[in-house]
Amino acid sequence: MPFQNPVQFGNLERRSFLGCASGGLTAMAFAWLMQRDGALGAMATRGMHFPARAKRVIHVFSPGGVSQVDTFDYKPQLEKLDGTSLTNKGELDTFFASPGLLKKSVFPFRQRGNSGAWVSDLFPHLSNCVDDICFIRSMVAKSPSHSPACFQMNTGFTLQGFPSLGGWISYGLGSLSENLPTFVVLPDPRGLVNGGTANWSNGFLPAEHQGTMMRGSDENPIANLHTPKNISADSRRAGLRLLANWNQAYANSDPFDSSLGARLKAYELSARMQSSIPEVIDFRDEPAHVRKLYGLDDPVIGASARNFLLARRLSERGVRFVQIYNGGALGSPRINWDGHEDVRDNHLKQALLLDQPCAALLKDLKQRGMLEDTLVIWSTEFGRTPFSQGNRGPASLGRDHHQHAFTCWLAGAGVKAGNVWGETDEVGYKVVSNPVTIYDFHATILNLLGIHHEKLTYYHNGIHRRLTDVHGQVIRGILA
Amino acid sequence: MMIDAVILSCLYAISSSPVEKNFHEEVAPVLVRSCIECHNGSNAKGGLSLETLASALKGGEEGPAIVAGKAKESLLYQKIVPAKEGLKPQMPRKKAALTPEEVKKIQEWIDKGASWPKEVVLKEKSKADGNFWSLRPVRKEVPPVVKEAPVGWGKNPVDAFILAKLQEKGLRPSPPADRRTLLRRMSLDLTGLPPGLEDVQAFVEDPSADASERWLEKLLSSPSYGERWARHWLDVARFSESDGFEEDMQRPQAYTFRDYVIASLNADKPYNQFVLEQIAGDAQEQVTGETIAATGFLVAGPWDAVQRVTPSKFGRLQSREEQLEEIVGGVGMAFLGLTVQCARCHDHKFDPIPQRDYYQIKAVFEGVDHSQKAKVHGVRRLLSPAQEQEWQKQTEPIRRQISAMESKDAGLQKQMKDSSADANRVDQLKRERDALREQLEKQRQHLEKQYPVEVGFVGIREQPQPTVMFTRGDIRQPGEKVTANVLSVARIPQISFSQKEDQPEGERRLQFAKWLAHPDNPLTARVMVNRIWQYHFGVGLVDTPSDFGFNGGRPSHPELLDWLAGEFRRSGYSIKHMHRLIMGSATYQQACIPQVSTMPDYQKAYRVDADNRLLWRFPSLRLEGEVVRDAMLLLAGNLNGEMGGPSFKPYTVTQLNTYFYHLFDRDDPIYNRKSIYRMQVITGRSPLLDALDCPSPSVTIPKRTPTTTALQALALMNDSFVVRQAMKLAQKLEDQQPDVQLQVQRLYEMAYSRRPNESESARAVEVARQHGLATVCWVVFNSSEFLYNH
Repeated sequence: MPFQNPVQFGNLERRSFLGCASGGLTAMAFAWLMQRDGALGAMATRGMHFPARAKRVIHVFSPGGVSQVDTFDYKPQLEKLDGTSLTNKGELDTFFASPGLLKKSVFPFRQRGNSGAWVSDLFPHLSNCVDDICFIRSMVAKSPSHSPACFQMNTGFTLQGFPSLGGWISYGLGSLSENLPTFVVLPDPRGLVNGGTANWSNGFLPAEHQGTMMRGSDENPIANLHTPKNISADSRRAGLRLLANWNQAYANSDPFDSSLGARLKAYELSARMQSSIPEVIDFRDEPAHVRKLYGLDDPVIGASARNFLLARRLSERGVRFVQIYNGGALGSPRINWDGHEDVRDNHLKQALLLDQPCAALLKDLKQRGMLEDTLVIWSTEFGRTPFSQGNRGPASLGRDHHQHAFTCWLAGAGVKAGNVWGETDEVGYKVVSNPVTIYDFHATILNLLGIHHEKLTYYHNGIHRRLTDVHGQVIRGILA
Repeated sequence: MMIDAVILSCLYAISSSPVEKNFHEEVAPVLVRSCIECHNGSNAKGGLSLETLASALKGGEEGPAIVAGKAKESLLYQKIVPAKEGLKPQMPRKKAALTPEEVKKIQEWIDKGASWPKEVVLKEKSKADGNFWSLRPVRKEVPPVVKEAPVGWGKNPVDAFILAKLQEKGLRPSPPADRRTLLRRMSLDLTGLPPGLEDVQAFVEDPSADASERWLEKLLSSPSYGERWARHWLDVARFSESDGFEEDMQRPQAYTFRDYVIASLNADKPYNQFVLEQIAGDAQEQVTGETIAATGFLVAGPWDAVQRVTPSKFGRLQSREEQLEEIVGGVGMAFLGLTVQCARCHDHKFDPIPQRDYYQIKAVFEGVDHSQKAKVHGVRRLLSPAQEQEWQKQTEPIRRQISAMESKDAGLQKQMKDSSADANRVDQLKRERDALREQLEKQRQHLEKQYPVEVGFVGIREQPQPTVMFTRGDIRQPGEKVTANVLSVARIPQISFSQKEDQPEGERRLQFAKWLAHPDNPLTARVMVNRIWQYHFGVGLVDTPSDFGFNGGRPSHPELLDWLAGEFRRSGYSIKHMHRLIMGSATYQQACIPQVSTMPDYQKAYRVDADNRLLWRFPSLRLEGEVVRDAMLLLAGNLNGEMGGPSFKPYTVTQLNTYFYHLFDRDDPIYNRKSIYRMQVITGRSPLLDALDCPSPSVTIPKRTPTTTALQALALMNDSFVVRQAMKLAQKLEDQQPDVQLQVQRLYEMAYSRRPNESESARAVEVARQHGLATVCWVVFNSSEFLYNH
């Protein structure tokens, strides 16, 4: 009997772009199944629409709003104008308080590496990696408010309820692993970001494309992974045998509902996950130099470092999209980059948790040859104002939210390394060349994965939805 | 004047000069067909818009598109001519090249001066127009006469429509389901719970011919019916009990909307009244507490509290626009099955909804807001005007006291601040203030106790400023003013608006609601009967229940859809009547699981119609997460049947500006209420329900998407709730009955409404003996037969 997978209309829709359509539903469903079983692993490099440069993605997300002028966007003129009012930019739009006076970078800048990219002293480790990085200094966001802006960076839309970047990629490319989820989220050990799971939601895509939250240092790294303690292994085994028997019998009684067979497979996969996940979070096989590289045993950065090393281990084992959170909830005490009160103090604390582990990840991936086909993304949701927050003279130590200019970077597969794209004005307030919207950013990421952003669609409530809505242009200038 | 390819021909009559005739007849249609999609005001590729002569003369990044009188120098002409014969011209990029004749006509037209009347604006034509099937009046349908109807397929009109289509494809329906299966099916469908053992027995033994009708009535009159079907409507209504966005603050009074929906369904409130109340229950002729609660619909969606109070004017306005888009979109999709919100930035690309319509409908709802202050929700006492007056009168003295105390408190606060240098004085003031606050609190409690009143989250209403359109939806580009109105393509003469910019906001909503509820509205009844059909069969006659537009599905049985819509109206919009009609049909009562004898028919039907859209059998339906959870509680004897009131909150909360919800699983009756009473907090979702595809509460969900995943398997295997209910169920069975074999039999009857066969029983008994009955109960909770309705 022809096998058809009625549950996953969406996959069929996606597949129809693969040229399988001539074979009818059966061929498409078969392709889908084969791919889930890893037999079509070659797809990973072939891409959906054109050859892929990246096979997998690690997205490091620093929520709160990282100040561009204190990190990666060097503005000598801002130093000269320090303490003066910003003029000639039209009405200044701020989020919380009235605009203060221009404020020079709170960290000195230096040129780094062979490429000579300017990076502030905030990142001593990442400074060594600039020759592998392509900075985009001309990012613009749609909203100056954290949640809408975080949603936009993660889902393309400022409202909640849309599928995340990782979800779209999972939907588009499927899994590379038989034993692990396709899309894994590693939350900041200090807490979840605002909006929580909405940031890694499947939105209207089927539930399997939701990010699976994994807490590497927890006894239960993912929800309900382990058999409860009050259930003996013997009785669980006996129960599972009986269950398989009954579910098989029921599936046999109704061969016209393929989800019944899929249920049997789901229990098999869950059993494999029960052994593969403990293995991936067990770092005992990591040599001392790797532990040291990441700072795993450092009392301050150790917990954060675990996430970065775990990201590499997950990628190695075929997880398609890993998202690392370098920052948690907004509010006080600040556990993210939201430096309203004192940007120097805030950014020092946050950067400590990012700098060494993230640089270690880049070096480690490179050393293993994985940077060739792994795309590493670092982003924040928006930047900060080049002037201080509020006008209280030297007492104004913070910076306000700023949507009109910020910096993100990419490294690895298919990205022009040691490169800088886009430019802001003399103080880093507005973008003056090659503006990059988040739609463009997403379109470029999909492009590197061999996906045409206008062709990855899913029908929902009257619209063939896309990650990039009706916008987005691939930034050709940063592709290697 | 707006123009598209269709109405061009009418214009010919009024235009006189031959060049204009040339433009109207030969040039404009080509521009509309081949150019305008990428060169219009909202989407100007290369900076060029070809909407008007002025915009064409202005041109784009490469210069003017038209140089009047000189075709060869005009970019418009250069781009559509191939560089060499046989090559594709540069434009149009996405569509077929123009024919040589068309190119020639355009050349002539430019050479002769490019005459283009100033008032003619070229617009992309939406794919559907007023003649689109869903916008045409509901047709009066007569059930087809079918020959050779199988036994039982002659009596219900629904069956005639279904059978006619099946026969057309050479297919046969399935035989009737057995009574045990049928009662389980109807019970899960209507009440969200499996039937009791005794009920199954009684139904099986009921000899009367109308047994299933009577059992159907019994289920329809159960209060569980409203709880079960309210879940469907709350999905559509994007009902959430928290704000979402950055802070995700709880909405403790939002439950009053949920209770309104449950009560309305149980009372079989006419659907037109149900619609009216949710849009304008606070503005209609007879306002009651219940009709005020109904308007919770308007504000059920997410709300960005932070952005609404930012000093950034841009941020505030933008979030307000998004909030209104959410409300307009929510109303449009729920009641009309149209994506009106798509026309916020430009005319709808698929459906006949011009951008102006969006803003006119926005004007209808412009007076609605969730709140205007951060951390304070728009709540209101659920009282009729007379009750409200009475309450005001009775409570006046005590409220006056409270308000006096409040101002005294504020005064003390100020004094403390002013005398902050004097520590003794501050101390004294503080003592005074604390004593006052204690008194104040007592008074407040007294007020609440003495004059209890239910308060509902329904948002606030305020007469708005005139509504203006925004070019491309951009708040920095305001355009013309518009006044409240309904969709231009579906106006009904009896419903008119004052068209004054200061029309009272309540009156706007009331008129709009009357238009929705009007029998001549082509969409409202069709959309609702289709939803009802979908919840019974898993798929609607239109498989996109909130999209009856061009992009949506087409009805599998258009005549049946219209007949049902007509019947809905004839019945006085009785939802229960529709249940009786649909569930009483042989279509609904046919078997799902094949028998040896029906296997060849099934195989044949599957080849023709694998999706079962023609309903050659009853579909196999995975139960919703809520039903699974509630059924586990019921079987284990733990279901707390308490109805209504504030939701239970299986979490603790910490607040760091943002609210964080820390879930727990406790064995306590208050957490064992039905899932419909679980607080619908956006960031406090249950992993078990999540894994069973319960959607995020803040988004409208026309249809659940059942999936089968490893995480779902893990949740059903290991979630502490499931494991505990399995143990409780085992305990209950053991307490009732010492014999293991009888325990297993009872378990089967409770979970599957059938008895085990010999080998099933033998295996289960063996596992129960060796590993305990709880293991078998756990297997049942994980089994497909338990998790599916068939």
